[in-house]
Amino acid sequence: MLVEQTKDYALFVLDPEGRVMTWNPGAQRIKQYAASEIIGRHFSDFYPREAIERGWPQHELKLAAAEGRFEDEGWRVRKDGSRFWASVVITALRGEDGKLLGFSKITRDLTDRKLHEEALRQSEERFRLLVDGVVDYAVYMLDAEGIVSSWNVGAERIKGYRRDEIIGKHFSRFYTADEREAGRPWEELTLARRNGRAEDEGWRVRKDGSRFWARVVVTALHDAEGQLRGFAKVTQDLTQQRELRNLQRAAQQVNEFVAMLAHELRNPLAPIRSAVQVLQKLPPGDPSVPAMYKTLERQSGQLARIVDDMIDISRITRGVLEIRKQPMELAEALHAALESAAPEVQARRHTIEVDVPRGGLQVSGDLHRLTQVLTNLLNNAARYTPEGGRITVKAAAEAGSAVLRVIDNGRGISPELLPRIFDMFVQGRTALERVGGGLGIGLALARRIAEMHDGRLEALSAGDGRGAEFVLRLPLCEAASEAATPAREPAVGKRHAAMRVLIVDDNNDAAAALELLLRSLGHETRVAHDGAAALATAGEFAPDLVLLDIGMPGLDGYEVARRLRALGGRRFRLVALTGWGQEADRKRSEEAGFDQHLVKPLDVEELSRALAPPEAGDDRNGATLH
Amino acid sequence: MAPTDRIQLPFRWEFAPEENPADRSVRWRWKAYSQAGRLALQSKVAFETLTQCMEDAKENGYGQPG
Repeated sequence: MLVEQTKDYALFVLDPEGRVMTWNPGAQRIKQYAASEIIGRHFSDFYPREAIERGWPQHELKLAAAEGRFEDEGWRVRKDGSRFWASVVITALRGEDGKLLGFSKITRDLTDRKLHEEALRQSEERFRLLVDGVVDYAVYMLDAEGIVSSWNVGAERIKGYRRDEIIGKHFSRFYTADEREAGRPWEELTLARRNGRAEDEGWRVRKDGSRFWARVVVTALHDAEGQLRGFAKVTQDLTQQRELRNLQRAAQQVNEFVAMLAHELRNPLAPIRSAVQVLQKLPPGDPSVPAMYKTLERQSGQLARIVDDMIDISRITRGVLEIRKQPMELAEALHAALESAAPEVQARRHTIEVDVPRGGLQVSGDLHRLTQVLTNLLNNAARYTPEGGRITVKAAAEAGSAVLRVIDNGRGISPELLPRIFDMFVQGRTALERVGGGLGIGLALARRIAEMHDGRLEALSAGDGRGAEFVLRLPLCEAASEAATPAREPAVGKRHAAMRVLIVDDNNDAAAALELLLRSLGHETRVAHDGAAALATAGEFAPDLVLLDIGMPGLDGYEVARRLRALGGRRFRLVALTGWGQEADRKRSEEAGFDQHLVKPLDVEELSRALAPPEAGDDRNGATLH
Repeated sequence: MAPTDRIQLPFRWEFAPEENPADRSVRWRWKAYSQAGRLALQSKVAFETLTQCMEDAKENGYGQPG
């Protein structure tokens, strides 16, 4: 009765050969046959043709008879020929004597479940194909421990690993050694586990060890019970976009730099032009003349500093900036820097406080370069501190380092700018806001020079309007012997024994100015404006020194030098004057026979050194001339 | 105050502007304080430029090796 009323299951009995012997309403509902239609027919009528052809119905009965029970799932056929997915259990029925009496068969229609599973499988397959086909993103899965468990084509393209090389390996290998040491991969998973998702942007490592800039999203995956099953990771290679961003930023900075450079060059040029015009109108001996000359000197010095900074930056970017280290007292560089920065401090009426020990801060350094660093810091402090401010300079020995601090109570540095303050061309102020001048290269230059001394330069500030502190740290060195102490530079404009100087320059003004200066120092001079005239004058004037411009029309300075050297005869020194100061230019001058290479604009100190008689061991030994 | 003793300790040197209220011109003076904050020396006159002021301080020990 129970069997007869069961409609969800087809329950029927087969004889030992497989013919249908009984039939319930469930069997009729599922298979569509009435009992009168099917009883006595073979049960293989319920199987698709391909199953019949391979003898599957008989196989089922055989196994059920042998093992007592057989279970199967598969496609079956209804009376109308339509198929349904059936779960089948066949049980062998035996008499007390063990003789096979037939089989009971229970069939359940699982078509809906099967279709759902198939739809799910197809959906997963489509998703897998989609993910596999993505080449612009690395899409892969990690298990809960971070072991790679799937890998798409994009991952192979971006990271360089084939699927079979990386499945089963830990994902931390995609990180840089520093990040691994800092535990960054594990942090990322912890974050994703806690928040459901983690995002990051940073350097990642390819199989070949090269780096790429990646944007990464990690999503935690949980099952229906909320258990963590693993992580889905999507990585995008943004290296090119990053380079493009950097290029755009650099281009913008260069544009701003050029605008600033024009402005900075115009600043000293304007007073120079005014001073020249005033001087033209003033009678000799007028009391204003010395002030005009001071203006010219100060402003041309400013122009020279701008050009020097640019040349230094060029040297740094090409890695050819030279540092000549010698044992020196840091205070020496500081006092020289204070003198250099005095005009800037004075112009803004700042009080300056100097608290520096009188010794004991000996470092191995380049006096000129360290003076440059400290001048930069002092000028910066003066420029970015409102008039009447206070600048404090302190120095002390701290844990094996000479530590020098330049502290001001000026405009300060915003937290956003602070990390970039040592970048090239950064001032953190728009052109309209800028108050202090400068090209925004001084601090970049200063930090590089500090690093070249195995030191550090840091900036501290509590924020806008709260002052700034720059800290220079240099390793202290053992006290050097007297012999190691660098020789002092000759005093500016120092007079030497009168010399016969031949000036060769096609620029009449430059030649005239130089001649005036040399005569004021007591030397005898001749001027030639081209190479041919220089050769002729040299013969009859017999100079002790020839100051020879390189860039001249006709015979250039190199050729004139070679010909002068070829003349032989009385000893004289040959000094190149040029706007080109690169190492290659100096080498070329040396090859042409010059004893010394001076870069324009020539300052009095350099000229003074060129005029000094050669010392023993000096390689400026001169040549001879008739 | 004129210097009376040879300078033995590192001083804290201060160079400060001083404005003349009459014409708003600025002159410079230096002062040397002991590490305890006591005024030890100061310039006898005011200078037209900071550089001149520093030069005068040098005569009194500023910037000289110990």
